Amino acid sequence: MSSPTATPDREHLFQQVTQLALSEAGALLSASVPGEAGFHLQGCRHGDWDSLFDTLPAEHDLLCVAQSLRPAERGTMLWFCTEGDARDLLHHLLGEEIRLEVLTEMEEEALTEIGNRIINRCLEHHGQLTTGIDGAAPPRLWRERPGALSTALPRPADSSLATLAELRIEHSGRGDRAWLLWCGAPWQAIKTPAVHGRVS
Amino acid sequence: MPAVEPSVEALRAEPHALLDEVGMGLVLLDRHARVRLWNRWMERHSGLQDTQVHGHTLAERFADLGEPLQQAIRDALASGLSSLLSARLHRCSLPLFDTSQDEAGGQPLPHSIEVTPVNTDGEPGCLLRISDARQRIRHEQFLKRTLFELETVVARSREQEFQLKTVLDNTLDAVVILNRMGRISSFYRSAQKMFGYDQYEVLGKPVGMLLPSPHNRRVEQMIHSDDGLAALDYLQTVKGLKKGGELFHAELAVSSILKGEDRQYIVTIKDITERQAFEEALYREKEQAQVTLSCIADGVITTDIIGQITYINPAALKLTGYDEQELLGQRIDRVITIESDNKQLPVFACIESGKQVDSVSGDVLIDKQGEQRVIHQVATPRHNAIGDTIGAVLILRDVSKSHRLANRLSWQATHDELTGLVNRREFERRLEKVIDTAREEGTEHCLCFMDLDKFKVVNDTCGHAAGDELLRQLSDIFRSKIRGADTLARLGGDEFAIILSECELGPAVNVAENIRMAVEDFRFGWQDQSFQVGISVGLVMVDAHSPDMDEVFKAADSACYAAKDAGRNRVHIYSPNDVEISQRRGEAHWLVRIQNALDEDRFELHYQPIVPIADDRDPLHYEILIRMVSEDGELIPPGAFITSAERYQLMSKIDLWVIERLFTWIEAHWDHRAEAVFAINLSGQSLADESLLYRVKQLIDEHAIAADHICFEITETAAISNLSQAQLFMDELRELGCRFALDDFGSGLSSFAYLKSLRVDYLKIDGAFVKDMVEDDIDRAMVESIHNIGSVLKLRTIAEFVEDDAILQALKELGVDFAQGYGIARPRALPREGELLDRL
Repeated sequence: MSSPTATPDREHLFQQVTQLALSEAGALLSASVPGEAGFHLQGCRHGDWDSLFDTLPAEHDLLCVAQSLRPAERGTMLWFCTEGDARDLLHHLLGEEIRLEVLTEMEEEALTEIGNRIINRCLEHHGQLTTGIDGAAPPRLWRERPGALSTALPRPADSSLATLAELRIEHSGRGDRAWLLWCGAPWQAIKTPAVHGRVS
Repeated sequence: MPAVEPSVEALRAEPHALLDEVGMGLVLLDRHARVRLWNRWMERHSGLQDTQVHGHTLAERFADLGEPLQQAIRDALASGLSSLLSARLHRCSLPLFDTSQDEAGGQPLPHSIEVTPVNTDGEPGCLLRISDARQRIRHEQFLKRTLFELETVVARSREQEFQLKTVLDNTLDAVVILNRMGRISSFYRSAQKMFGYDQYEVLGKPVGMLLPSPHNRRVEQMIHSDDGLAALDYLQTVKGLKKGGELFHAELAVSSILKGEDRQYIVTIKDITERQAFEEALYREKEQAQVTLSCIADGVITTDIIGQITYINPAALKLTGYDEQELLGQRIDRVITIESDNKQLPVFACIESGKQVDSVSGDVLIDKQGEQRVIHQVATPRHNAIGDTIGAVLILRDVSKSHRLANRLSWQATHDELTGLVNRREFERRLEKVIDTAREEGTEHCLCFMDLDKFKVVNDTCGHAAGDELLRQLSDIFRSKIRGADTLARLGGDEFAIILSECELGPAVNVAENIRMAVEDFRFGWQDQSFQVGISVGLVMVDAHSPDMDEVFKAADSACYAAKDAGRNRVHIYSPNDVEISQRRGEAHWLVRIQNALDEDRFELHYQPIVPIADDRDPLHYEILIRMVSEDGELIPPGAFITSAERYQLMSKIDLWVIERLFTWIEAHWDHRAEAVFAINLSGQSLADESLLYRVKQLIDEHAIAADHICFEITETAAISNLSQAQLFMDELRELGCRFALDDFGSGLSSFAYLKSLRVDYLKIDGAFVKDMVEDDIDRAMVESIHNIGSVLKLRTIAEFVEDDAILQALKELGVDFAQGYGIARPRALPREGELLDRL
């Protein structure tokens, strides 16, 4: 679904920048851990906060790394995936043989960092194209069903516009799903085509 | 995550002591990333004092500072982005150490870092919060280790459960689990196969559906009455009930188990139908074996590997004289006494060698009462299924009777039955040994030959019983005059001999004289009569120079003759002259005897039947035999005097005497109408005697003998040595109707060639071939050959020496015409009346 203000050009630019950020996050991560993973953008969807949450798989608990953006009106950026996929990703990245049914505290912390890197890289790259984002608060980890998560997370004042990017995490010959969610309309802040040689 | 998160203002406002006590590292960087705050915790764990780092960047102070931390600091300072560096991904972003240990430097300290942008009086900066991750890491390791162990246990448990189920499903015995109510809760495949039910047909049902009454009630009652206080263990032989209604023998075992608070029962059912049948068969076999062992006459004893008795049958108990309890479990050599030449008992020898051991008969078993039995032992090893020796079976046979019989036969073979003295054969054997001893050791012995005088008087007067008694009594007298080492023998008739062992001539003469005087003084009483006899004794010394036994014997015999010749009742010591005298006397002796016998008519005619075996219509034949009657009244067979008779040309006289006497008898006692053939032996001298031929023709005429009833037997040798005379003789008498038989045919060298020129009617097959023809194929072939030749030449065949039915049958099979021998009839005196043996 496209926002009335998300033109195809802006949409395309947005996705490119997002992919760039994801690739960098993956590269930075690989430098620190034994395993490798690639993060790829599958597509974007726009809508209000709740409706976007409704599109998420409802039968699983989601692990969500959330960072509040500054200024507050810029909303919250989220990165999340299913708990099972999160465990698989972690154990692959860390080279673990013994897996518990639930993540340990240390593993949760590691997953938080992974989400934080992805979010920061996206913010960093989007920040080059956009204005108005001053920073992001430290990441926090949530575990909830999508319906409960949408109400549990601090919701921005205006949650009518949000963007949900679907990601594919490739590792161990498999592709798991993850999502990035902005509240607010990040593409609105994308600079005029002059930056990229096009008129906005 | 850290418990305290002080803001920058708090950091400024609070005294350093507070910052130092927050329990985490705090580093404040200015916009240029230079350290503005370095708390005590950082000093402690980095080894760097605040003064050492203040105003420097972390990169200046730590050469190996990781890129992720530098990136996070940049993100915070340039973009205001907060970052988290987890201890799990980085372990040690800063070179911090665990200072709790005494060693210098300590172990690296795992930690997490949160980087947060801050604003200090309008100036951007960033705050690093460093928290110790050791405890969290330890906790994680503990959890993972515990989980690993738990999962291992679970996996093992699952594996065991699977294995157990596989075993229970595939075991030959049926396994059924019952709940506390006695209902079937598990019915494994093994049980399904045995009973024919699907598990769904039986689950929840009582176990009784698998067992007929009363076993089902018994099991159910047992379960229901189980109070759970003690483990239940029940084993019973029952009958199982299959789905189709078929009953089978089974062994049922029930045991209880506690599963949590619940009680369950494991029921195992073993189909013992086959085992039952096997046990019954085994029992029958065992019973049969035991009955057999109880009935056989031989003793049977079984032992284990060390010779301890494990079984003994009634026959062995009887042999040994013991009770079973006295023998079972005891070592055989400690309870049963056997005297043997063998060093080792057969039982132990066979256990050692693993082979059957057969002791030669002659071992003596001494039973409990001390009675002795001669036994024969055979020990056979017993083996187990893999061939190892596990003991032995000993068979004991009481051979006392046969041993006694063998001893008796042995005694009889070497002793004279009448007197109990050594017989001639044994005496000769001992004499041979004495001669060898004399030669080897240079010892001297004496041989005495003794002949009774006037013995015939007692025999003639009182009969043979008196004569026998006299001999017995004289034997006792002889025994009393000699030593134990000496040998006393009866050589035959009234002849005796003694070997005086290691005895010089002088003492030997004394012994002989003593015997002579004892006999002279002896009076034999028989039925109110008293007789006196005498004895003539010849002595010869045996020493290293003595010749062989025959010569020694001859010398002693000669000495004895010399004693008789000198007047009897005396002892004569051998001298070389004695032999010649004796020889001459021997030959002359027969000449005189034969002459006297002829003069005194002391010959007798005997006959032996020759029976037809091929054609019943053939007449019976009778071979006429001659016997001389000695002065003592004894019958002397022709073999004793014929040689002398031939030497002194007396055969014609003897043959004529036979013919005359026979024709006289035939005329007087034989019915001429009766079919018979009388066979008369003719010597070679008779064949050449023309006067005899003339006389025979006369006698035939005088006595009106039917010439065809007369058959003359001439030996092949006699005929060939006087061939022309034989042919003339035979032709003349054949014209009258007489027949001829060729006697002892087959033993000559050129038998068949002369048959054509000798016109005979019968061939008498040499008895030497006949008597062994059943056992010897060559002899049989000879008999057959002679008979076949005879058949071709139209001659009838007669077999001599037919001693038994087997030979007779064999002769019949060959088609031989006549048979003669002890197996048909023995020779006997021609009766006074004309009745001879009937046709057989």
